[in-house]
Amino acid sequence: MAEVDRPGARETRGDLHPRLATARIQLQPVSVSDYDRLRQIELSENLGALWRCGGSTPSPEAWAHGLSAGVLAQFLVVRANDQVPVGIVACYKADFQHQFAYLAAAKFVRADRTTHLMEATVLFIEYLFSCWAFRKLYLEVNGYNLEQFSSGVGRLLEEEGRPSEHVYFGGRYWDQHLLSLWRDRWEESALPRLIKTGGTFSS
Amino acid sequence: MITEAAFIEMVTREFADTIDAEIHPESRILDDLGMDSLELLRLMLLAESLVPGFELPPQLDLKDVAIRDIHHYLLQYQS
Repeated sequence: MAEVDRPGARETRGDLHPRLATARIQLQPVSVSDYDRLRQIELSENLGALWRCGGSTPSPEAWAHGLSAGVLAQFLVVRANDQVPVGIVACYKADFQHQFAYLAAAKFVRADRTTHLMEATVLFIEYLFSCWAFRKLYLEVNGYNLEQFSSGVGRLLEEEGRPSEHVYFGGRYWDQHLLSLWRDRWEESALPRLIKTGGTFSS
Repeated sequence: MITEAAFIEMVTREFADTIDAEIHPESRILDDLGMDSLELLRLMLLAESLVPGFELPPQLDLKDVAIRDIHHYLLQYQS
């Protein structure tokens, strides 16, 4: 009998379901009706050179094919109050033999200084660790993006590799930081607990 | 209703291991305290533990936001 079926079991099925929303943001699957707008955003000045197309402009058909190529799970990040998409999170290159996968996130407006995308990323990580038995998640972070969450490196995130001058952007080469997030370190941190409890600290 | 001093004490306690600078009411969260997006989210969740659903007004330039401002908006949101 499963743990949740035993009388008096601490967790209920409701507790076990990964959440896809908080008071501020929602994770929504990408629909065909999102394609045109999402393609425009991904090929925009803001994201075009930084996200999956790397500056190229694939045809609508090729772009749609590439959207899910190698992707295990992917959600639009939508503001809860007005349903405006503010970003996207994706899990790719999942390796089920060795139990790891890669994680990426992008915000649609560069000047967006809210915590929406970071909150969505926390929710998405919790979703991934809840749905699959991954030991760890990798983040491939190019040097120009590292400062957004550098406080987590050495605490929550471990730098496992750093190919030097690995990516070209903005007229120069940048190091790429291969960061890992181990499941046990994630579960010990405050963030999943905060997300699960809706932002309520408990000691 | 939480006082400014109590809020700062909570922030100080929660971020003691990650923020080197001393936290004063006038500390600016990006420039003075050096918070990044990850820590800012933790701060938001800390504030939300006091006032569910709270968030900083998105139009704010976070470079200029001080701990005192967050407490101010917390009280506004609560009232």
